[in-house]
Amino acid sequence: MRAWENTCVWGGNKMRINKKGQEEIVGFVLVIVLVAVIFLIFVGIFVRQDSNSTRQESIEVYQFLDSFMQHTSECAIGFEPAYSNVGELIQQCYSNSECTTGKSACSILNDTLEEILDLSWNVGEDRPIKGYIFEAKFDSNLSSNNIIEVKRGECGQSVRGSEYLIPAFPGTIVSSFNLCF
Amino acid sequence: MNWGGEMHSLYADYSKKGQVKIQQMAFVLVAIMIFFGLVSLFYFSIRIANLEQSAVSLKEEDAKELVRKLSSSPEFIFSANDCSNCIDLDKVLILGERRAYENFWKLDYLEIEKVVSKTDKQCNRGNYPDCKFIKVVNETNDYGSVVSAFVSLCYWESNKGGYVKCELGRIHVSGEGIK
Repeated sequence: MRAWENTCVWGGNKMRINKKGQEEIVGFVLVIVLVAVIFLIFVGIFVRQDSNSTRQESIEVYQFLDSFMQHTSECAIGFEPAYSNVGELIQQCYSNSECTTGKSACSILNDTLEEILDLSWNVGEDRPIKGYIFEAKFDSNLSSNNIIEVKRGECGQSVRGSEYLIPAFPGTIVSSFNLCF
Repeated sequence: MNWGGEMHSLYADYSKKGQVKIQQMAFVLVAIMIFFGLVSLFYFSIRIANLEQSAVSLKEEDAKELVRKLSSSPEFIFSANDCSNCIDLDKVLILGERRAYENFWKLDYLEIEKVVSKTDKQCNRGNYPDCKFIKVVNETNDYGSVVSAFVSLCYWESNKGGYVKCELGRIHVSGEGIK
């Protein structure tokens, strides 16, 4: 009789110890899950901050756009020597104007852009600047139309650039230039 | 007697298990603290590195702004049109010839360069405006790092009846005040 009682008590203790072990494993798993969730939140915040800073405003690029828009092109509209600067030429291109030489404003604009961008920025795989994108578009409340786009090289995650606005009633011509690193 | 002795042994065993559990919890808490410490250390080291990088780039951009401000000084500005970043290239050519202006800006080096040019020659009265650059100040050969900024270079072009022509250029400056 005593022997049977002892076995029961010992059996009960075994069961209790097993149950405690399971509880500990559950607790440990919960701690691991909690730590993993907190770690993921940290990583999420960090990655979001990084992705926000992938396109940075650049004063250098703004200075470039500001000066470039004053550059006198080889396109005169109407008569010579009324040569348009690049800012005016973008507007002329949007309205499909023709220069006195017979060439279209867009063709001259494209040539000018390619020449100046190539000479101003050294782009290449083995250089700090991997590529660039120049875009000019007409933005109004009703629509947004691309005027011209010049691309070179490869664009990754890190981009530095700026925008230059030219009023063109009833909208605005937005020229943006982005350097890819 | 025998039964009582077993009970005492179990009581002691449970008390020891409790201590082990408290120890385990303490270890887990310490491990969590170390983990968060390492994570925050990693996070702040990256943040500080980024901060240093942005401080350097801000300093560079400040220097570029300062350099560009030179273009709006009366000695350089092109006043025929409303353009704050336009440099009068005719004025710069004359300034380059005058030694009296060498210490005017307290700079070691000041050069104006055309981005688009068919030649690489320095400008003088003979080849102007078909030239590449004008050195206004060249105090020393060891002028250190040069800060550059984009500007517009405007001048009177006498061909085809005469008109104002502006070209994209750069201003390169080096000196104690520009760093």
